[in-house]
Amino acid sequence: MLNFYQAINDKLKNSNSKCYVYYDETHYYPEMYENIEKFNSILKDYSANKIVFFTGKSFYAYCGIFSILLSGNVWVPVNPELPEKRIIEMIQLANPSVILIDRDIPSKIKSFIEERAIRIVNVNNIIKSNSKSSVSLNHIKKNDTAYIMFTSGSTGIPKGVPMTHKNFINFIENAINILPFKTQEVFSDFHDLGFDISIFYLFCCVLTESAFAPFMKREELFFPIDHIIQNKITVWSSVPSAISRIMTMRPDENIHNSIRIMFLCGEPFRLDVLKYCYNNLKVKNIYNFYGLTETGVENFYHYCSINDLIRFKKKGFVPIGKPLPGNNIKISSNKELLLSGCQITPGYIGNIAQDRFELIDNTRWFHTGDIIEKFEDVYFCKGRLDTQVKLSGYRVELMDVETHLRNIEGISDSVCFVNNSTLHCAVETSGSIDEKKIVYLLKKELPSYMIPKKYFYLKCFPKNKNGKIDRNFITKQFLKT
Amino acid sequence: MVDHNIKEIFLNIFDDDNITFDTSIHNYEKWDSLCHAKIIVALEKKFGIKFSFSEITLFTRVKNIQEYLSKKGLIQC
Repeated sequence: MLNFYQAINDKLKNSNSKCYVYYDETHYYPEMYENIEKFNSILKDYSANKIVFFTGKSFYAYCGIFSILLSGNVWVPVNPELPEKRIIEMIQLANPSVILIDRDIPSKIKSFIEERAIRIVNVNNIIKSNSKSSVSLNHIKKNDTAYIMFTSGSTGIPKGVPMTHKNFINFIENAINILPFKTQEVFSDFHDLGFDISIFYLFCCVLTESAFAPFMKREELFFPIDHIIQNKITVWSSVPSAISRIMTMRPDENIHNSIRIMFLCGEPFRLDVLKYCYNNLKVKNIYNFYGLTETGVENFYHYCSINDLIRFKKKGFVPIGKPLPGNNIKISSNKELLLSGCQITPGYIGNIAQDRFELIDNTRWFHTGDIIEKFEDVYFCKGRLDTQVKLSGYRVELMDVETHLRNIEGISDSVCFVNNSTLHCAVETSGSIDEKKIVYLLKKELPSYMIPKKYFYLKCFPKNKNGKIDRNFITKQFLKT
Repeated sequence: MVDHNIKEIFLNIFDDDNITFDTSIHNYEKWDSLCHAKIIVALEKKFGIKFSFSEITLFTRVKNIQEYLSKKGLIQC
């Protein structure tokens, strides 16, 4: 048993505070713990088993997630809104014992699950039932997998990233030490639970006896201010672009809100957005974090100050700051950031992409693929070495999208690129192909953030001296238009 | 029929003139959060008004936008 989980269990069990707020719907910790025990009546029969959590956001979703973790099982979040094919690939990679659902499963996914004799349990039946089982923390071992999240893979199939308890606990302990939390905060839950920023608010929320405030509707994600104000959110976490959208719509307005702490990560954080956070949103404590799914959520942090607006003016961005305790860094000759320490994943599911890990002087290092540069006493992330990009905070392997485009009849090749945070693509096609058809076919395979928004057509892609597709030429040519 | 002012805004943002009443954030892939911000800014500029935060949250469908502007007397139905 780990002290960390003892603390989590104590808070969940003994707090009387509000744990959930969504407009008129509120719940308190005693009710949450009762439901955790209900989930445990099913989960106690499993130990270190993978449990796919195929549900939307709700009060009961949080109960289920904590029950999975406290029972020593592995939480595998799979968003039901993803395309069927992607869902099946994730389930196949995770190879779970149980799938917890809150809705009817599409027939294709259902038959896939049934063929593998995976147990399906409906969350609503667990909640309705009177069956409960006391939580025992004895099954939790620090080197066991706590959760599995998925990142985009260059082959067109997502990569499963297991994280042990030890891997992510170091990050949470740092976050609790660094951020000026009080008790009874209200934490935003803005992104998909399968985006590992969820680890931050799931654990920090409970450890501070605070409440979750989920963003569930698409319109709330598009313009979150009304939700922030109405639910009195005090701790905000998201990618910076969520704030820049508000800035686009209300550039000059002072927006009165209750956010005290802002935890931003996952994308370059522009100085004009920082200025807006200070001047228009009046947030006092703003942090920029940097990390990867494979390296335990976050590994660097920077506590912003109003002076950053002048100090980093030439850079145009907020730095990623300094490494969090427990993380070691190395910068290779080509300026790539390598990370080692207790937060590094044991490896991808299926032992793929072994070249991302390197043993140097008996230490296991992870190649982040990010280019890093030191300025005075802080670090800046300067981009990628490969073709990965960040879209809405998700790491997207362009080759993943390109592979799916090439699979479409009539498209012989494709090049994807990003302009103004929007994914574009050039396709090589001898005939005429309808953009609507491309989008329709891609939607069957990929999540919406991976679907290009603008399409360009070429009969034959230009090649460079080595006979390879001249990606730079194609990108520049279309950016001109 | 979708009002020509709304059509023009959507055409400028999405490069698509096949917008209908039913076009919404739920069924039109290109309508993401960035485009939503652009639509709001363009509507406010075009009609010289400022939407409240709760109104912006409601503008998720072309039909909702048109009905709102019509009620305000800014366009004719």
